[in-house]
Amino acid sequence: MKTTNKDLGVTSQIGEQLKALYRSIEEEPIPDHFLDLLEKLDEAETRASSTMKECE
Amino acid sequence: MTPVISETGKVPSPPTNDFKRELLALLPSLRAFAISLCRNGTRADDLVQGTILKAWGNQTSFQPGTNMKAWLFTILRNEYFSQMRKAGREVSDPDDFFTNNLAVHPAQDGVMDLNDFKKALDTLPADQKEAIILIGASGFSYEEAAEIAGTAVGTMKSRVSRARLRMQEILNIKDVGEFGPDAASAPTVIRAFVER
Repeated sequence: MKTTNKDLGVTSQIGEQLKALYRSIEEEPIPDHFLDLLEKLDEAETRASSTMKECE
Repeated sequence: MTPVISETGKVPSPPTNDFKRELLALLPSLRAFAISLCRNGTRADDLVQGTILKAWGNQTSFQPGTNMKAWLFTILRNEYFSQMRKAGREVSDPDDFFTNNLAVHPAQDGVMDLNDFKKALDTLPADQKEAIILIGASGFSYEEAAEIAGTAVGTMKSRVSRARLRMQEILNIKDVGEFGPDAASAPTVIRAFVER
């Protein structure tokens, strides 16, 4: 049986505070350098796979 | 969907764009996990960046359709705990329950200050902090959280209960009737102490 996280307590102040803290970070915009990093990784992969095709 | 197979019979790696899209969508949550775990912006950023790089490098080992969030969280927490251990830091505190670290003096009017809360969270041993975040904020089930942390479901439950008790104590939440261990978790907590 799947247990739930109910017993952390929906009424518990701690649970509520923790969620509020977490949510406030989640709602912040993602720093640009992470997006840049993903772009670079994606580009590098595209380049690598097109180079591989040329060699075939 | 018919699987795409290249001319040479090789199965191509999963579509990069899907992987990237999913990874992007999970970044806010991953970042919130990192920051709540280590409370140091620069270090949290490094952890997230390391996780992105590692996930990208290992994307062929990720099974599409499985829980990418859990997979990413596992990569991040493993890196965090391995750094802690390398630095010789304690990741768990076996005698935690009565080791009061009462640096926090919460407001008397019952309104909990966010900074007090953060400080209280920081006094938790890393394994308990991880547990309470995964269960209380990241939205994982006990089973998922146990798998992420590489531990048993019972251990995860007792870590959450102990974290909660300790937070209550530090933050001076005395109303046991309302906030104390419920009937479901109390036996787990007691067992955790008896087992030691």
